[in-house]
Amino acid sequence: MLVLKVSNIVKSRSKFIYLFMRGFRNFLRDFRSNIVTFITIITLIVLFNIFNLTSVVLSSFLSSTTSVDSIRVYMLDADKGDISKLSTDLISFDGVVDVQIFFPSDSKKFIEENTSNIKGLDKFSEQFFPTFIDVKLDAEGIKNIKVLKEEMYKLSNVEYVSYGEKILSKFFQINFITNVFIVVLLILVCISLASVIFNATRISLYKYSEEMKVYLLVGGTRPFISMPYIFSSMIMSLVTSVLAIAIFVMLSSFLNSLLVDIDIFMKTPPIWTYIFQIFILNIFSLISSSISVVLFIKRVSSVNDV
Amino acid sequence: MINFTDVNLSFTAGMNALNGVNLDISRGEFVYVIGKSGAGKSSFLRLIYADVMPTRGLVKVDGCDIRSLGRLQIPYFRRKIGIIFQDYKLIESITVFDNIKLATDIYYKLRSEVKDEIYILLRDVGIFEKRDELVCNLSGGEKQRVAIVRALINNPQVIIADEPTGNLDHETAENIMQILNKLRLEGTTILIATHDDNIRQRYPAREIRLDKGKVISDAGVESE
Repeated sequence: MLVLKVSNIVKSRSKFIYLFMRGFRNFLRDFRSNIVTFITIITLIVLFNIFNLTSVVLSSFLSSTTSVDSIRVYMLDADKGDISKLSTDLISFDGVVDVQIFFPSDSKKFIEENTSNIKGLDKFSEQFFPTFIDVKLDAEGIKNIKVLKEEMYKLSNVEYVSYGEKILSKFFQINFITNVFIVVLLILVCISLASVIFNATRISLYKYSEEMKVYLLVGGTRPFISMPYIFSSMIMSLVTSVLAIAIFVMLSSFLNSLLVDIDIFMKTPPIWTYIFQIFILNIFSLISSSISVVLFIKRVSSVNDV
Repeated sequence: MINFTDVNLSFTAGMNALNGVNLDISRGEFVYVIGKSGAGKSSFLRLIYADVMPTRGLVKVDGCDIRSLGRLQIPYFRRKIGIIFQDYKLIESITVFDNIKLATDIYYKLRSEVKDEIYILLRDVGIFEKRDELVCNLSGGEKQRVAIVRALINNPQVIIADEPTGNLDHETAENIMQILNKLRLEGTTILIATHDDNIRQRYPAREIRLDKGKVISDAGVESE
């Protein structure tokens, strides 16, 4: 029984290899006529990756810009005694590691040092600038930042508490929209790739229609007839997607080597995104080539049409 | 081997390609299917290799009712039958050997595994020297021999030949008939649709005459 099972596995494996090799032969035979398809697919994938890289760079920029590690507490009365009491209250919160008091003169100085292109700032008196306490948080504090903000509001002499959530939410929206755009682009690329593969497979099938009809005549099963063409399309999409990604990785490394001279480094997408891309693109290619082959074989199903 | 019981076949409503056909063909028999163009000869043969299904009645080949065959079973059924066409149905752009090899591909056989077998058959039909020639460079008679080898390579139980000598000169047609006659002597069931009276006289056998889809005579005996 076991011997029979093993022999069946060996047989089906050798059949698989046989059909795969026929598919590989078809791939080599059609290589020249499929050059346009190769170029189209490679261009599509490289373009997609350029957009993807842009989104990764933007996302990395936004996350570094919006990294929150402190809360600012603005006061109603900036009396020295009140400030000292509030500081003591704030430091007692879990997740708070340090507090730094900014008087109006410090606030003005801080703005002057951290902004540019604000004309006439020096004309404003210090009294127009707020007194606030910058509360530094640890990892746990950052995690519970919303709760901490609510708790700090409850303290006496507190006018306003903020960690820049309005700006953050705008940045998050930009990031979200960029990600949605990339997903939509990936879907469009997959659909385009599927159409290109569908058409390329169909054109190849016309070339092989005589062979297909002879196989039908002599008793070739549908999987026997169709599998090599599907394998051939899969090899084509696998080779092109790997090649496209290799080209893109080389291109981005080259760009990084140029940018490093001006102290800029583009963060490239993680390796798993490339593997995921190859997987998704090849699934789409498998589906489209299978549909193409099955529809074609249906059309040539009568031996007498040979 | 082949049984037709009250078989009707129509492609369009009201137009019967075959009409109430009843006959039996035994294993190893050599049969001519004759009749004018449009008499139903090709339709009769197509039923045997399950390219079409009867509209009514029963067609059995080697005990197997063709209507009971599913789409997945038809290829396996067809492997019992070797088919030869008047227009050869070969791939012109590949060699003689590769054309024949296509028929053995369905058994997942490698080139080296079938080489000897193909060479033997090519020698038998006298075109061994042409094995590496492209089919487009062959004469009609040579192409028909290639088609015969392709039909024979998988050792079919039945050979169906639809006008196998239709496009050939007298001498080449004679050669082809000699090959088919040899197969008959080896016990293969052979059905030939033909218009060629000379061939039938040279190689006499059972004759099924069709007219307007009906069997009007079988082995020279009027049926109606």
